[in-house]
Amino acid sequence: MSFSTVVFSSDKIRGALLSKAFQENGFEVSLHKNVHAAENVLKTKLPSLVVFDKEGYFRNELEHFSSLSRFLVGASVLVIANSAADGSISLKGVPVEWCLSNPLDLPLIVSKAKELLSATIKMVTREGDLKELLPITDGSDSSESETSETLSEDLLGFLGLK
Amino acid sequence: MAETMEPNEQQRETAFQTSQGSMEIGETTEGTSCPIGLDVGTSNIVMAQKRGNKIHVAKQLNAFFAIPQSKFAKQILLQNEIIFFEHNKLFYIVGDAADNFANIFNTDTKRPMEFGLLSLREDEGIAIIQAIIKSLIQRPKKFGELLCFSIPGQVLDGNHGTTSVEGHESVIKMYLESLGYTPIAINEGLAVVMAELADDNYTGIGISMGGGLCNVCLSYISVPVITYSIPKGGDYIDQKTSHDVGISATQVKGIKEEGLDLLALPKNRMELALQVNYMDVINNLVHSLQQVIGVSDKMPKITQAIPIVISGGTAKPKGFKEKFESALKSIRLPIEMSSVRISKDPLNTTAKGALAAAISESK
Repeated sequence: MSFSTVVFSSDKIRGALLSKAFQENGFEVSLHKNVHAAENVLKTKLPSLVVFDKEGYFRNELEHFSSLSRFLVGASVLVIANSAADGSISLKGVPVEWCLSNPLDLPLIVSKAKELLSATIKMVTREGDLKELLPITDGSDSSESETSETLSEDLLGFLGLK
Repeated sequence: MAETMEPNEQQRETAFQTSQGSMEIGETTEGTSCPIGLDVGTSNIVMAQKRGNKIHVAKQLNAFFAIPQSKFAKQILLQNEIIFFEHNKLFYIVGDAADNFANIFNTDTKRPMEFGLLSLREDEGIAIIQAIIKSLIQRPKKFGELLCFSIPGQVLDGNHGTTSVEGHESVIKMYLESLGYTPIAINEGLAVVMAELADDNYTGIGISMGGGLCNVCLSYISVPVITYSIPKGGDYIDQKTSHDVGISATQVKGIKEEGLDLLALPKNRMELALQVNYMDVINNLVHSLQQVIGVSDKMPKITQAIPIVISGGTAKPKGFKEKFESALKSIRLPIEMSSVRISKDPLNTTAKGALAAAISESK
């Protein structure tokens, strides 16, 4: 079972490199350039991981990405940027990891992504509340709940925690 | 607009000698439904297609020679299964046969492409390319079959009376679509990587040294991170040597391909000129690596040493690898090189790499 990841990158080559690196590590990747279309992408199917390559995006696009917290609940976010301290991206209630952008260190980025997912799963498992991590609405929608549980099982298996 | 003539049945059956053995033109693609790789080079157009476990390759010289129309000439051309078309009271002889005619008339063939791109100098350029491509590939049995064709990287330093890379790509694509294919362009240097660097996870530098250009691609896990070309290749060596010693470039090319040894002391003025001009191209190529890769901000972090693989007819002379390695020591690069090697089948590597990409895309 592959593992869904959405990559946002404004640069064709960097985007292709990130996509390929994640694909080679078993992730199912979809690559996007336009941040303003992100809602549609995230609404269609919430990915387990969102990789945001900050380089080349304009301020208004960064602000737009920061406003997407509610669509990202249940996912982990990896931001690739020159500095984490510039405050240009702030997401609430979403686990975020940062990685330096230049030069693009693909093995490190993939490794950080795996760590991020692993930490998230461990935390949720420890708290015994895996459902809170996933976008489940009071368990009222049983099909969505089943999908989420399957996804959780897949995550644990993918990360070798099962 | 040129009036192209369909090669007749007799011409379609002309056998082409390839490194894989001979094959009939009529067999090339008709009746099959497999992806195709096409190297659209300044000197040659090469087609590669997988049949069972074997890769079949067919090629034609990307050149033409025009002679005045006459009934006698037409008869001779047809008898000898030579591919040609008629336009403006001339017979345009295309492909391999053009070289033979040029030698008979002690002059040079003309080219529909220059510096890896469609030439704006030749009125019949497009018609000639179409005639050559059509002699190598037939319409696909399955409409929309994938065909991957090579395009050059942006040329460093200039406009040389050719189309832009985008314009060239668009025209070739339109023609291939009109034949019923789904064409996909692949950078020529990346095609070399696809053909030769599978064991290195498609990471390394692929260089295609053709007639018009030297194409370079630095690839990381099959992503073309840096691509460019320099406007020097085999044609430059031929023309410069021709100018230096005063014989036709077609004759120089023949002598060059007969067995030039870059490690041996030159025995005459011709060999001296060839060696000097070869070193000029090698040094230009190597310094371009430092000039482009050395300053690129696109480079990902690469910790392991990466290989360089070189293909193309210009890389064939004995001693080429040693001369390239020696020149490489004179520059500094931000990544370590593990090895330099010449591709296993230099003349067909680009077509085979394009085929590998087409097969990969079709999965």
